[in-house]
Amino acid sequence: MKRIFISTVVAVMAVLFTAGFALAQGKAATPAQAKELYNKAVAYTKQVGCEKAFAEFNDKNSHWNVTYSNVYMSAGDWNGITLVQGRYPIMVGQNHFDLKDADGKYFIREAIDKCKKTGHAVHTYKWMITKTNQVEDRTMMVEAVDCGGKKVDVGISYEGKI
Amino acid sequence: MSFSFKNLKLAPKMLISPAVVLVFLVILAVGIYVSFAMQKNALNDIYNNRFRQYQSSAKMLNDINSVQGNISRILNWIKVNYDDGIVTGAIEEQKNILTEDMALIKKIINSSVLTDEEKKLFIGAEENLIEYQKAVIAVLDTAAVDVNTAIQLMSTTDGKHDELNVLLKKLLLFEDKLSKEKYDSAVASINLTITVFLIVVVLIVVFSFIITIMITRAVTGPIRETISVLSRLAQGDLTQKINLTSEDEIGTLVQSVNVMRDKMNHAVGEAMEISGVLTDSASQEAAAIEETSASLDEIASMTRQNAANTDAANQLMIAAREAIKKANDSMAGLTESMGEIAKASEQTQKIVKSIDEIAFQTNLLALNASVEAARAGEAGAGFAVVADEVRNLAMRATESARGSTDLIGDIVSKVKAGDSLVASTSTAFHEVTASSDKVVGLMGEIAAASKEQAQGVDQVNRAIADMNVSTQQTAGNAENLASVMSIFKTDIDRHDVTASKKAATLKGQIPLIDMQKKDF
Repeated sequence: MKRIFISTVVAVMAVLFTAGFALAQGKAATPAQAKELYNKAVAYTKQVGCEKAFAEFNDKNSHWNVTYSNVYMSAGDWNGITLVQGRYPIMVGQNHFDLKDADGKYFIREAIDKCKKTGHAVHTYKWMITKTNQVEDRTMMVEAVDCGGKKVDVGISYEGKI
Repeated sequence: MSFSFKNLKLAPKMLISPAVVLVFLVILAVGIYVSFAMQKNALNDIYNNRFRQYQSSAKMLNDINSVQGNISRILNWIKVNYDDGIVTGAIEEQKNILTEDMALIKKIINSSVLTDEEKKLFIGAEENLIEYQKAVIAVLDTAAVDVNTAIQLMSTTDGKHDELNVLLKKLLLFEDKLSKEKYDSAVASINLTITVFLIVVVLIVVFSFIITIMITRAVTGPIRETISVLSRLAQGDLTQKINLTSEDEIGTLVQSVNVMRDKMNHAVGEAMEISGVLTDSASQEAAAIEETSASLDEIASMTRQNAANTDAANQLMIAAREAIKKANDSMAGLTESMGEIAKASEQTQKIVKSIDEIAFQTNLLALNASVEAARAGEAGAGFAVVADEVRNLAMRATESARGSTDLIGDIVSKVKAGDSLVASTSTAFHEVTASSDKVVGLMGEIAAASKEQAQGVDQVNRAIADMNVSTQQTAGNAENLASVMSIFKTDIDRHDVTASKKAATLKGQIPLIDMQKKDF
């Protein structure tokens, strides 16, 4: 009885919280706005260094992540380890090298390959939304940045196609 | 060992056998106790360590298998929008199970009972468990926000799970192996204990038997020897000696017996020696007395003869004195005759002188006659020859007168010498007479003394005869003593008796001999 009550309270609070964020977050960004934020984030990273920048990027309440409802910060090294996840910081440290999209493509590997070749990547992939059971477009926009002698991809995730 | 054993008193000697058995039993008991303690340890180890760890490993294996299955179920539940409360509860449950397992494995690693290899395996398992836990947490956390990613992350979890599974199975096998080894070694140890127990029991029986026999022999042997020596001592054989140097009661007894034997041996030996010496000296004495007696007989007869001879000599001396007196008288006559001879000689000398003067006158006459004859010529030739013959006769008469004068002178001188000789002889005869008188007196005394001496020798002879009797008795007694002593057998050499003893024995005889000398 008590457990059900606590669960209920937690669930309600979670819903309210999400709603609050949704309200607090700005409107959806256009691809141009997203690109602008991406440029700022890369410039900021180069300016203050990876450590400081990533700390801010991993705060899902920071302006980097709440300015637009459909854009959040993203970074990862070339081994596929997630360094920044602006929406779900819980995934930081996870290896997503072998992650596949809805089409069965290794989208992370592809993005890393592009970065290795050109220094940046704008990579669109298909993502299954489990709750709605629908496939949506997602775009990763990243640039290879030197992080204390180690190359990492820094940029944004955009919920949509650029 | 043998030395100290020999010197033990009888009571400790008797206690050796049970003591040895007791010591063996104590050693056996300790050995069995230690062995049992080891078995107990082995059993403890098998149950408390090996089995517990086997249990823990099995629990963890079971846990991760169940967690792995549950994660798939949870992800499926999320996918189909299953009740959030149940999902959250299930997620918490999985996390708790893994947390429990982490605590369990840490506890095992920190416990001191692990072998090095075991510990290595557990540390490997712990590392894998940490990674698996991380992977599971990542999957479960991600599942809450993006089940799609979470499902894809399951591949990592699967990998970790498989590794952990393999490791834990290895651990199970290893624990099983360790338990088996422990069990085998415990069984081997028990078998060894049983074998050693049986061997030691057999050894105890054998040892105690041998030691008991040895000690019995060690105790009864000397007693038997002592008894045999004592019985021989009782029969008078004093040469027996017990060669035993132990310091127990038997040793003391043996020493006393030896001392007694030594003293008896010495005393009897000396007694035998003295009796021998006594016998010898007694018989020697008897022989000496017999010889002395014979000598005394001879002396007595000689003394008697001496006395007789002295008497005869006295008679002869008296006769000699008479003869000397006669000779003395004759010597006086001789002296007178000699004086007369001397007077006659002087008268003869005068006669010869007269003859010489006549011859000288005759010669002168012859010479005158020859001269007258020559003057007469041829007629006178015959007268001349007669005158020559007369002169020759006168010459011869002169010469003869001269020779007579010399002879008579010689006779006179010789008569004078004879006179003086006779005088001295006469003096000598006087002296001889005096001496022979004295000799006669002395001879008389000697004869008297010889008679007394003969009587004394007879007395001595009687005394010696008495002495002979008593000496014979002594010799007989000494021989009896020697024959009595001869029942004893000693190891003292007859010549071994000290010189002083002999000297002392002989000394007793010397005054007797001296006394005998004085009596003669």
